[in-house]
Amino acid sequence: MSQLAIIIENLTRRFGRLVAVDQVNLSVEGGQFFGFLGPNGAGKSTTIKMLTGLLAPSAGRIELLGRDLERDSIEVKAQIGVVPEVMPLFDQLTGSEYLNFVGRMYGLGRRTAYQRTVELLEFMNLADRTKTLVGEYSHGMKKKLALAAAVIHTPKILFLDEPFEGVDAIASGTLKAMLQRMAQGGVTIFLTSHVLEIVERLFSHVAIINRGRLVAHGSLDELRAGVIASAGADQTATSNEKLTLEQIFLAIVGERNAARRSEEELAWLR
Amino acid sequence: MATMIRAPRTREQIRLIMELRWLMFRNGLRESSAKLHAVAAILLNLLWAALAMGPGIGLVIGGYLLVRHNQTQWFLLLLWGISLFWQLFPILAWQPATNLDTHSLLRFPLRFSAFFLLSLAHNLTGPVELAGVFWHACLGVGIVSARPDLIGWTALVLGISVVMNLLFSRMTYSWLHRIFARRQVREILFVIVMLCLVTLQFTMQRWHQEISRFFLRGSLIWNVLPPGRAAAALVSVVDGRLGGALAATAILVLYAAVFGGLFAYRLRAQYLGEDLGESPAPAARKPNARLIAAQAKTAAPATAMERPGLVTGPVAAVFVKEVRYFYRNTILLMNFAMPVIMTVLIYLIRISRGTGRIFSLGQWLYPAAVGYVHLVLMQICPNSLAFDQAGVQLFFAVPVKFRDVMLGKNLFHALTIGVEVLLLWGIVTVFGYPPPVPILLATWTGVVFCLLIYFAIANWLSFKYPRRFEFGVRRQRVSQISMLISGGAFFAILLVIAVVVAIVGWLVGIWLVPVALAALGTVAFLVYRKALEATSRQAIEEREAILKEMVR
Repeated sequence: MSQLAIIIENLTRRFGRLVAVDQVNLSVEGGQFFGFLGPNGAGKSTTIKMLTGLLAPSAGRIELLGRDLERDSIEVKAQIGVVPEVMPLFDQLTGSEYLNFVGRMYGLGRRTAYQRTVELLEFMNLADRTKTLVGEYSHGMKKKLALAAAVIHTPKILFLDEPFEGVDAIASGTLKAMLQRMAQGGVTIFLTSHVLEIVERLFSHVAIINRGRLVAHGSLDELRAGVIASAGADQTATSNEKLTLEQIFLAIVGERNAARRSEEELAWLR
Repeated sequence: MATMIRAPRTREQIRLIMELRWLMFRNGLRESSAKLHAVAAILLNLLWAALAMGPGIGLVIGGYLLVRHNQTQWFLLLLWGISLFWQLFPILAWQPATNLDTHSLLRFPLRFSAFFLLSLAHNLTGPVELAGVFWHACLGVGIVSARPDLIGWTALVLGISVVMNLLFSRMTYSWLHRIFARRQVREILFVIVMLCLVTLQFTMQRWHQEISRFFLRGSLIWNVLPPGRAAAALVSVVDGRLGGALAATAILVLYAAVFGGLFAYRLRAQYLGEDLGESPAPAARKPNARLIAAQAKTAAPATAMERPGLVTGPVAAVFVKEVRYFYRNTILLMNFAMPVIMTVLIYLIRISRGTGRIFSLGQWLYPAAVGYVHLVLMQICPNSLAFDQAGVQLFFAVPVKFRDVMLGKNLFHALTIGVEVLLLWGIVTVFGYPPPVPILLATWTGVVFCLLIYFAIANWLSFKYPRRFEFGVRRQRVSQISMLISGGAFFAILLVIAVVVAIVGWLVGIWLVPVALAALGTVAFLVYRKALEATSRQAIEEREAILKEMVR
């Protein structure tokens, strides 16, 4: 699939005087594993909320799978899955009840919803917790359940906001396995994460947003080349080694490194 | 090394928490909607104060006259009245109160004494509690006006009575919360409640006279319980029997101490970080696909509702979800049971008074009970997203119009009301006082009219003034504006029905009332349908406000 799955044009979101997302233009090809990165408060979650219909843009346009999100919201939503920052779970349903419910809400038939519920719970290692209320799940289990719910209707695009946050290595492995399987099937995965090692390992393309503005966009190699070029001749030694995504990120975002802060700051902490 | 800082003293901690609450309130007013809520809160509180004023004046006059005419035995009735109102009103009717999430305070080095006092003090700010305190004070003013020399004793006894009432209500709620924290217990309770409701009518028919005699004429019960002891202490004070006053007060103090001790015991567990969660340890066995399949089937049973032609899959899914939330929520279950219990009690009282067959006015008891059902069961409708919390995001993420979501919720609420209305009809029939057919039909058509109009308004309010509720917790803060509008709408609907009944019944005959109400119901259906269609657009318009409130 090489068609554009996501097209964002001049996407802007204001909260009073604050411009959380400022004229972002972005396109993502179908089947891409796409990382959307940025420091805290950069506008990542706001962008994802707008992309999934949870928040109205102040200006701009979103096209998903060739359809305008605002005009054809129902048709678009049927093709996408989302795990927002705060998981959309119903605490007083059990895991299987919740997945069944979500399946039915996406229009699956009763039988299909059952079958997929069973398979997803098995895959997510939640099969022994089907009687437990979602509210009693651990954080990692909730993440897995939320991901299972987001894919139950076989979406063509999957939006994930910090899916690896607060998740242990085992749960993280399950999530990655699920995502890899979907990517192999041609699903576009649009994900925000602070765990740059995972993004580096899994993702082919990355965009970086800072203070609401898109500051970089491209494949990892393209970003790396850009950083090296902008660093100048004195950084040639660094360019010979392969820059990690963290180094690229810090170079692009340009925030002060905590380690380099003055010794005098917060002296009372010692 | 960093300097060690000592935790502030209890008084300082309470002051800091008060300051925090004030800052939260003040900062909350930055939003225009919050200012509107504050205005509505002031209006509601003024209305509440006006309502409390009447009994208050009555208590001042009553207290004065009872002492002047040496009729102090009636103190028992007055103090029982205040106590019953204090303890039962929040269960029987709407609960305009605020709740404090004390758990969030535990991250600070808060002393247990401060935690205990804050929990008590916060509960005292509810309108029901304030009315209770006010009425105690009014009774005291009445007594002291007649006998100024009794000011010390009166203040002491009534003060202890206030503390006792407060501790009792806190103790009850905290223990109920503990007992019903487990899903298994809640589900067992649901089954028990349903069984009780069904069998109550039959058992009461057999033993109603004995039971009513026991409760209504057993004066010993009323005397030994706390309000009885408070009354006894006051009587002894007025009669100048110091020993009797001391003994009764001591027993009252003992009651307060027991209630306080039980409450402190429960609170202590919370203070030490008790988690009322019930997550069992993961089973060591291998996942059983067949078991899961069986559970999944149970999770969404095939119902007629799901067949094409009736409602769509998403509507049925929302309906099933609402059913599950209902039987797992103790508060909703109690609301469901209360009208039945109250109706049975009212009938028992009438029977115990020996009125024999319910006379002409009694035929309106069934419609009145149904009105009460609406008042209690439909409280949640103007805030119908309350328990969905962060899950509400799903409704915006799925390819479903919000009209389907609200239709599923409305269908569920209509079902609960319908079941309750039929249950009450069964009860009054079993007691031998079925309402005449025209009144029965008028009640049912009135229910349909009321439901449709109320749902149309309540759906709008659910989007406009949503409030997140914690599951299974009593007396949560609802939007004051929503309360004003929904309360006003409810009474306006009742007024319309009353006017139709009065005019049509008087001009033509009671038999035409059902027809008139059915005609109104048809109009109401068209209004509801139009309003339901508008909910999808309204949900999108209000999406940010809804998500901001629910997703925390």
